Amino acid sequence: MVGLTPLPRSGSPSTFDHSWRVDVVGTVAAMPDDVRVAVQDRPSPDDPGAAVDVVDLAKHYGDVRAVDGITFSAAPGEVFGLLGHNGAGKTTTIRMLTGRTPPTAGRASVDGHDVVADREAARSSLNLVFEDQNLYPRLTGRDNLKLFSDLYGMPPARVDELLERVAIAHAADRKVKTYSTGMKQRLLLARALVNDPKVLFLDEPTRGLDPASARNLRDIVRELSGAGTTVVLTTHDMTEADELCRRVAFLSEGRIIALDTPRELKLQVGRARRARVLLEDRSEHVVAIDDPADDRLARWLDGGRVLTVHSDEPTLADVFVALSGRSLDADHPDDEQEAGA
Amino acid sequence: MSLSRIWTILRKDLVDAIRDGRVLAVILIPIGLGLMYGAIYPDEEPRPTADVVIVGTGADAQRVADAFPRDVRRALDVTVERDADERRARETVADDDADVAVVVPDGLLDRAAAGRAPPLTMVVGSSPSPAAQAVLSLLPTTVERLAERPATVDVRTTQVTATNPAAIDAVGLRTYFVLAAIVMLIGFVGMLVVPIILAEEIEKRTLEALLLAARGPEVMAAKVGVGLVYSAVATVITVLLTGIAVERPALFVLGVAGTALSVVGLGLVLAYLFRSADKLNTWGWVVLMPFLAPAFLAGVPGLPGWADALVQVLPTGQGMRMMIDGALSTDVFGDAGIALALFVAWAVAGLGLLGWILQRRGT
Repeated sequence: MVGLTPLPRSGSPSTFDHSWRVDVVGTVAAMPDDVRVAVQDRPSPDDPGAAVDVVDLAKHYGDVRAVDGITFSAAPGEVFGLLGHNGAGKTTTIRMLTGRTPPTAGRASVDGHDVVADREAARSSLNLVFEDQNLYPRLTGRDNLKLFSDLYGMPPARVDELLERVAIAHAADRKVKTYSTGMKQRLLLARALVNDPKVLFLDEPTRGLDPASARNLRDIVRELSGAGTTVVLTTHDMTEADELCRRVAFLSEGRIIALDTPRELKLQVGRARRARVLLEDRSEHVVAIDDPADDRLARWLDGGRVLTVHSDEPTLADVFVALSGRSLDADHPDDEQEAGA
Repeated sequence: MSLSRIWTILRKDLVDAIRDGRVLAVILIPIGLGLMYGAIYPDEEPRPTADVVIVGTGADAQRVADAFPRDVRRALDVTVERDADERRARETVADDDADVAVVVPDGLLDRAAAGRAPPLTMVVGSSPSPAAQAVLSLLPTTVERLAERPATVDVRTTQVTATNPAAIDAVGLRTYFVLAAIVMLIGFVGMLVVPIILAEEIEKRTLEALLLAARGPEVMAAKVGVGLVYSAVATVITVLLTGIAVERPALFVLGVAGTALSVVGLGLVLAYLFRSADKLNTWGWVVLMPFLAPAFLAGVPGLPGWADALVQVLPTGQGMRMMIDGALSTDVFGDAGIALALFVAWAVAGLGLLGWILQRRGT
């Protein structure tokens, strides 16, 4: 197992072209996108190369600790997932990181700018795709984008460029209230890209989208990451998190209970390795790979009876349940507090 | 604060809000009322009327009281009352319950007939109405006719300070109600349109997107600007369509701008209290009506003390008073300094309360 910490870099960033400090703590070492590698990227508070740097960040509403001293960092170009049940503190964390809610304690910086003390500079480096489709329905798509382009002082050509990029140029002069959910989500993404942010926050970006629109949005996220934009993603969709995020942090009760790559987290659950086997007679079996007494898989392979073999590893949702003792879908009593924060 | 960002948001609000049926209706209703008042009330009263108090207990007072209405009936409708007490008659004029009080001493007609030019005292308010001025010029003629001798009296005119000026008389019913409709319009814009715009932004969370790209005070300044622009445009439309005369435009504009600025801060507070455009549209009127009443009461004479205090304390009442003065060539109320101070106080209170609410919410 290795620990990889991104080092400061120069020049144009891309997804995995960072320099890495490699700390060998296990027996297997490989680059991050090697499927067989378990990578543990430790939080690096005060890392000058981090695009997002969070240290002991907390937000209390009276006795309610919506966020209770969390620490993490995200490297340039990284897609970082913040996962947790409703009311775990994800939205409050994003509110603090985007400078919309002052923290009770701790500090956070985006692109090297403190989100409280240097909010103006931080704001110009970040943007957010909101969970709600908070567009102006009586304005056209173009006017929606132009408003924010003007607010950020961007050139007029930026609007057309973004409309093309998210593939809604054909509907640019239609009122947004006539848009489908997928089109609105693409317009939201375009709005969030209007200031060419170095850090993009995505709050449940694919909620309510049809599979094709969701896939399209995930493709754009990958492109952004490849171009060096750091993406901080909150989602309930564990498959999406698994697919997009290089690392995820599980939040529960306002605290980070785990932070690692999805693969490593799944391996940490400690469940015995299993394989799901489909035989030629269409019967399906689950066999324990590490159990010397269970030699069925070897026998079926020798006998040529196996049609398919799939590893039966735990999902991120399983990991969360194992770590927190609760379901990701469960509501927290403080949800309302977080939503209204 | 960036003026460029304020202008960008203001421009968006001006275009976006007018497409909202609720906003459009709230602006059109008072303009329609102004037009209606302009149409149903005549420009000038068809025949001037004058209320005259004849002071005196003797036979001459009775003769003058009987003869004067008959003598002037072709030019003026005169209602005469008799009062023995001169002090009380002066108060009646000061309270604007009469246009003129005429003091007729005993033996007036005999002395006039003898050519001794006895004094004839006439008491008027500080701004005599056209009807009062007609009485001043016509009454000596009646005395001369009764005395059967021309130029026989020494007319002495004294003015009393009006305790409650009859603005309706001074400005005319038509202009008065059109001005009240304009104050209503400003109230609607400041306390319904602007809060509906902001509440919709809160409700649909577009405000959060704006606050990522602009600072809170810039967003709020833009909303205040929307209120001022809508108030100004709708006022100009109402004045032009009704054709009311504005003798002193600067004072009038000051009244419009002051009223608009003083209510818009409260409107923004309402947005944060209701946090829903539909709730505001339903319940905002309950808050708004007490604010609008002073506009219709400001020129009514003989208000009870508490009602007069309400008119003078609320910005809509002071706004109406200043606009009435602006519509006339001379002051009826004449307390522009107090009105301006009150506008500033309400604006500071409204915007200060808004700032306090936002600070408490940590936004």
